Amino acid sequence: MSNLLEVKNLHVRVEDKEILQGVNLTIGEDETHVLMGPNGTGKSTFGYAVTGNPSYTVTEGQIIFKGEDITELAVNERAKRGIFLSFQNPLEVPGVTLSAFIRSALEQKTGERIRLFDFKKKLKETMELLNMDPSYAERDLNVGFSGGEKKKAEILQMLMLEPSLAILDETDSGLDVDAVKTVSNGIKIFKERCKGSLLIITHSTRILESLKVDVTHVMSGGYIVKEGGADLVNQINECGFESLCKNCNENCPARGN
Amino acid sequence: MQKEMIVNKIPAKTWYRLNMNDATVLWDQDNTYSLSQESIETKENETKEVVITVEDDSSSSEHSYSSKNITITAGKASKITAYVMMKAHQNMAINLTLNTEEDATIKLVEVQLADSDAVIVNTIKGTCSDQSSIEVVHFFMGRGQIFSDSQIDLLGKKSRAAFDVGYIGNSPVAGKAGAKGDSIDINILINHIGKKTESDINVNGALKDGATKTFRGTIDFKTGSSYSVGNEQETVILLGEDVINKTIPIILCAEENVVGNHGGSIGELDDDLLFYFESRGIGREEAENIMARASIERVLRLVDNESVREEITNKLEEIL
Amino acid sequence: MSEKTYVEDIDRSVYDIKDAEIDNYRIEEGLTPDIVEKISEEKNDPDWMREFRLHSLDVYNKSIMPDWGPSIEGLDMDHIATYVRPNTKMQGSWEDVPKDIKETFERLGIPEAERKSLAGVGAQYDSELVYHNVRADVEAQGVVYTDMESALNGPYADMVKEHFMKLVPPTDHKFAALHGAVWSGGSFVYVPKGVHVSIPLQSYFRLNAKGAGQFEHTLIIVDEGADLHFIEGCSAPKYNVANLHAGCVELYVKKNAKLRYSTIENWSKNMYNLNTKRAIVEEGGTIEWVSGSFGSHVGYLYPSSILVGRGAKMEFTGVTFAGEGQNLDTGAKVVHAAPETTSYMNTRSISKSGGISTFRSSVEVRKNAHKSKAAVSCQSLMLDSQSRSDTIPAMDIRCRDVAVGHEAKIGSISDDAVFYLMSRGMSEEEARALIVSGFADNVSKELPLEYAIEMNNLIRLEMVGSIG
Repeated sequence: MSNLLEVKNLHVRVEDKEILQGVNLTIGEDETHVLMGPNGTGKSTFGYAVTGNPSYTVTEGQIIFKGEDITELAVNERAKRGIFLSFQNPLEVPGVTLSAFIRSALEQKTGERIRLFDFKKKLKETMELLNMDPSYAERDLNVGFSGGEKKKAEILQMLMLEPSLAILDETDSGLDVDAVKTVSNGIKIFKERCKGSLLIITHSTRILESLKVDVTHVMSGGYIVKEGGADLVNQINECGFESLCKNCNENCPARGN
Repeated sequence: MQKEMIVNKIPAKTWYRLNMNDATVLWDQDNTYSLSQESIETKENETKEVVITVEDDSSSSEHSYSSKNITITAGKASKITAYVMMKAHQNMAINLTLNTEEDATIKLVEVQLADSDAVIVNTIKGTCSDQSSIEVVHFFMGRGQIFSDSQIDLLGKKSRAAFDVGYIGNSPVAGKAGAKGDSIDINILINHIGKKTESDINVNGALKDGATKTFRGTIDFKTGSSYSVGNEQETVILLGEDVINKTIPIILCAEENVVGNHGGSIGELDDDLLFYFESRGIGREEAENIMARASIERVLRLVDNESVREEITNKLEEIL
Repeated sequence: MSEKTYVEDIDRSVYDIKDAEIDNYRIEEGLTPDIVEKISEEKNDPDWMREFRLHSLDVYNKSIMPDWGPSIEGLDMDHIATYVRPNTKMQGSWEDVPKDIKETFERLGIPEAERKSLAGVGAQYDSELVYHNVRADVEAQGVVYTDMESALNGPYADMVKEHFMKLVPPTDHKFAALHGAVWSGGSFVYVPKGVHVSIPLQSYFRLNAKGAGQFEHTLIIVDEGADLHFIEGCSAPKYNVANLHAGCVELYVKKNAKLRYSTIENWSKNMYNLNTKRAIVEEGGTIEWVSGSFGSHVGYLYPSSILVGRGAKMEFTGVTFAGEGQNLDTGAKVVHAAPETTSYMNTRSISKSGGISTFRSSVEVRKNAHKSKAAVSCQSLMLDSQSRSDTIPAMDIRCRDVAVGHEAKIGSISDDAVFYLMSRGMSEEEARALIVSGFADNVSKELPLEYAIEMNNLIRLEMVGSIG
C-alpha cells in the first residue's frame, strides 16, 4: 500500500521554543492511526504543522502528502489536497452560518458553484447521522454552540469535505458519553464513505472502542518514543505513559544522540 | 461661496486636530427641493408594516438637493415596522422623527441604495416613553457618501434603544477619473434619561481599498437614569491598503448606579480565524469576502420582509 | 437602595502647610513682553533663549483658549506671577538649603526617599531648583542630571538647544506657548549609550507662593541602549486664589533605549494643571508612563508618545481620582508612525463628591505602521451621583495589517463586594476604601514600593469619612 502521509525528521518551532525535535511518522491509505502521549509533548503541534499553521515554523524535515512535498505549501492548498484538521477549540464566526461555511469550503475545493438543492440535501442527511438538530445549519458557526455541538460541527465538516486524511485533535475531550458515541459513529461513517485515513490525537480510549486501529504512536518530549499496533492502546491504558517511556528508553530515537 | 451643513456632532468635543468633533457636508439649504412629507401612525395595540421608498430626481439640476421628512408615531402598545429604502442619485436628506407611546415599538430599517456620486444625509430623532423601544437597523453598502445622524432620548422608564449597523465601504468606481471610495459617517447618540433604560449599539463592517468610515457612538447616562445599562460594540475589518477608519466610542456618565461598556476591534482578519478558514481550503481573499458579507448577514437576520431582504441581498451580490 | 457612605474631603494637612513667602524676587503679575524680558534677564538666558521666549509670547497671544476640555475661566493670567525666585541659590547639600524650605521637603519625605532609594534628586521650590544631587556612582557612569539653567550654560548647552521645545513647539497649544515664554527650573537628564541606571532619579516640585505659576521644563535624553526610571512628584499648599502649573516634559528615547516616567501628581485643589508631556521613541525603544493624578482643581494631562522607529513601544498606566471641586481631564495619546510598533493604555478613574474625571485618548495609526498593535482599556468608577465620569477615546486607523482593540467599562462599587467585606468584619468605609485601592492597583503595582504606599495613603485619605 502506498503512503498517504510521510513525515520525515520534523522539527517545529513555536516562537522561540522547539516543540518537535525530529518526528518520523508514516500513514498509509485507508488507515487509522492513534497519536497518544502525556500533556504538552507536541501532539497538537504535530497536527498544526501537518495542516500548515503559519505560527508553527518547520525548521527541519519534510512533510510529504500523496507523494508531494507540502512542507512549504499554504494551509488552504493543503486543505484542497485533502488534509483536514478537526480543531480542539473551534473558532466562533459570527455572521457566517455553518451551512454557508461548509458550502464555501466545498466551492473552494471543487472550484465550481455547488447546486444549493443537492448541498442542502446532503447536509441534512449528514446532520441526521450525527444526531444534530437541523436548525444548527443556519446558525452562526460555533457561536453559542456547546462543547459537544462544536465537536459535532467539526465532524460534520469532515464528512462533507471528504478529506483523504483527517487529523482529529482531542475531538473527544470534554464530551459526555452520548456525544462521544455520536462522534465515534461519525468517524466510522467517514471510514466507510470516504475510505480516508485518520490520525486521532487523544488522551482516552473511549473514542477508539468501535474503531479498528492500525498503528499507535506514542509521543513524548517532542519525539515519537514508541510505535505499535492496536494493543499498545490497551497497554497504555493499563500502565500509563510513564512505564512505557521507561521501557522504551533504548529504542527511543531521542536517546541515541 | 460654497454652502455647508454641520452634522454628526458629538456631545463632548475632543481635540480638533483629529477632525472627529463633527462633519461638514456641502449643502445648499436655500435651493433644497422638498419631497412630500410622510407620517405613519398606529392606534393602540395595532401592528403595522410599511415600506417607504425615497428617491430623488436623477437628472434635474434644479432638484440636485432634495429633502424628505418622515414622522413615525407608535400609539400605546402598538408596533410599527418601517422600511426606508434610500434611493439617492444626487444630494438627498431624509429626516425621521420617531415617537413611541407607552409599551410601543418602532422598528426602523434603512437601506442605502445610492449612486456613486450621491450624498445622503440621514437624521433620526427619537423619543421613547415608558417600556417602549426603538430599534434601528442600518444597511450602508454605498455607494457615495452617507452621513447618518441619530439621537434617541430614552425618557420613559425601562425604555430601550437598539442600533444594528452593517456596512461595507467600497473602493472607487473602476475606470472613473477622480472617483472616490465610499464614505460612511455614522453618529449615534443615546440619552439615558429615565430609570432602568437600556441601549445597545452594534456596528459591524468592512472597508475596502479607498473607503473611509467614521463611527461616533455616545451613551450618555444623565443624572437620574439609575439602573440603566448601555453597551456599544464595533468590529471593523480592513480589507484595503488605502483606508481611513475613525472611531470614537464615548460614554458620558452622571449617575452612579449604571453600567456602561464599549468594546471594539479594528484590523485585518485575525490570524487564528484565518487559519481556521484556510484549514478548510478557504484562502485569505475568499475568507475576507465571507467576513465582509457576514457583517451584513448578521444584520440581515433582523429583516423579516422578503422583498426588502431580496433587495439587500441583490445589492450585496452587486458589490462583492 | 443601600445607604451611602459619606466621604469627607482629603486631609491634606501635610501638603497644605504654607510657608511664609520670603521670596528673594517676585515678578509683577501678568504677562507682557516686558515681564518676559525681565525673567530672561533674571535668569541670564543666552540670546537665543531670550528671543525664543519673546517669540513664544507672541504665539501665546495669537492662539486661542482650548474649548473642548474643562473650563479654565477661573484662571486669570493677569493675576498670575509667572516667576518667583526663592531666597536661596541652588544647593548640592541639604544642609545648605534654607531651614524653612528644607523643613517643607522633609515633611514631604524627600531627603529620606533620596537616602533610601534614589540615584539622584532635584527639588524645585516655586520657580527655581533649590537642591540638586546625583549619586557619585551614577555620575561616574556619565549620567548627567542637573537643573535646566545650568544645562543651558554648561557643557551640554548645544544638546539642550538642539532639543529644547522641538518635540513640543510653542505652536502646539496656548499653554505650550506660555511655557515657552516664561519657563523656569526643571531638570536636564542625559543617559549615555548603553548605560543602565538601576535605581530611579527623582525631581520634586513644590509651589509655595500664592497666586503664582510654575513652569518647569524637563528634558531627558536616553541614548541608544540605555535605561532610566525617572520619578516626578508635585505638591502645593492650598490658597483661595488660582495657581497655575504649565510644565513641559520632553523625552527622547533613542534606539533600543528604555525610559520609565512615573508621576504622582498631588497639586492643591486651587491649581490649574495644564501640563504637556511628550516622548519620541526610536527603533526598538520603549517609553513607559506611570501616572497617578490626585490633585489640582482643573487638570489637562495627556502624555503623548510618538513611535517613529520600527518596533518602538509605549505603555501607559494611569489612575485619576477626582474629588470635590476637581475636574480632571486625563489620558494619553499615541502616534504609530513606524512598522511593528505597539501601544497599550490601561487606565482607571474614580469620581467622588461632585468630582469630574474624563478619560481622553487618541490612537493614531499611520499608513506605514504595518503589523502594529494598539490596545486601550479604561475603567471608571462612580462613587456617587453628584460626580461625573466621561470616556472619550478616539482612534484614527489608516493601515490595514494592524490590530487595534479598545474597551471601556463604567460602573459603581458592587454592593455584593461591600457586603462580602463587611461580613468579614470591615466597616463600610473601610470596605469601600479597600475596593477603590484595589481598583487602582494597575498603577500601584507599577510604582516603587514607597510610592505605591504613598499613593494608597492618598486614596485612603480621599475615601475615609463617616457613615451618614
